[in-house]
Amino acid sequence: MEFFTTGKSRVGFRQIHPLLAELVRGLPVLVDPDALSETVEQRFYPEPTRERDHDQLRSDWKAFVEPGLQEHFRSSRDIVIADLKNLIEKKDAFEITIPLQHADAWLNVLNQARLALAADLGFDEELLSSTEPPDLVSNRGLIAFRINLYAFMQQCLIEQME
Amino acid sequence: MATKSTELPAAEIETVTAEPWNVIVHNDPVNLMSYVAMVFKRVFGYPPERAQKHMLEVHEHGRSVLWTGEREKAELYVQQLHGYLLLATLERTGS
Repeated sequence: MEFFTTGKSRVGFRQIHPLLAELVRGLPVLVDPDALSETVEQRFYPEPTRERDHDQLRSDWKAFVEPGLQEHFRSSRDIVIADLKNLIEKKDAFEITIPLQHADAWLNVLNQARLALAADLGFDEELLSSTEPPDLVSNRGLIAFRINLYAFMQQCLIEQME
Repeated sequence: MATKSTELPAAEIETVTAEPWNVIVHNDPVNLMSYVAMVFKRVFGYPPERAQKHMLEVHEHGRSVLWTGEREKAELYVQQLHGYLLLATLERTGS
């Protein structure tokens, strides 16, 4: 899988192995706002303060800020869903190109997906920064691999945008 | 009628000035370091070196104070940081 640019306005990934293409195609399912676990919801919508005596701030945040965040996450997901229609097979691999102006939405959804996977399985810093070869036999190992795949995609987009 | 401007003594100014708030970002093992630094540049307009310094502070010490000032603006910053899915909170400076 490699990152590429076409002109100034489009970026993409090519030579995507069919297995990885499936993982990319599965992004929207991971961040379906109607199917998030409570743990993931808590991670996506953290409290605005850790101080004890600010119940009013917390309730105002829930009432007035969270709906805007939900809409932001939802619209990023919608953009990615639309772009995924461009994930096409080329010979034995897949390729996708996206408008550079959609890169923010992709970064957001890739981040949502990584956070959701990590939150649901309680991944910690040690596991995520491990340099050991991935253990692709266990479910945790497969999830770690998936998190790292999305991290690779994020990193490519960040480097292009910076 | 003549008016006379009066200046409040420093001690009184202390009592009427709103206490500043800190915008804190907490460590998260999932967010990429490059992503966090990019967000700091975008949200606060920090130059790369300063964004990098705060990012490393978050990574190494668990948290970093990104900004201090009036509450409304601090809330807006935290809202933006939550939009990028960073773990950010508000805290009174005296806390």
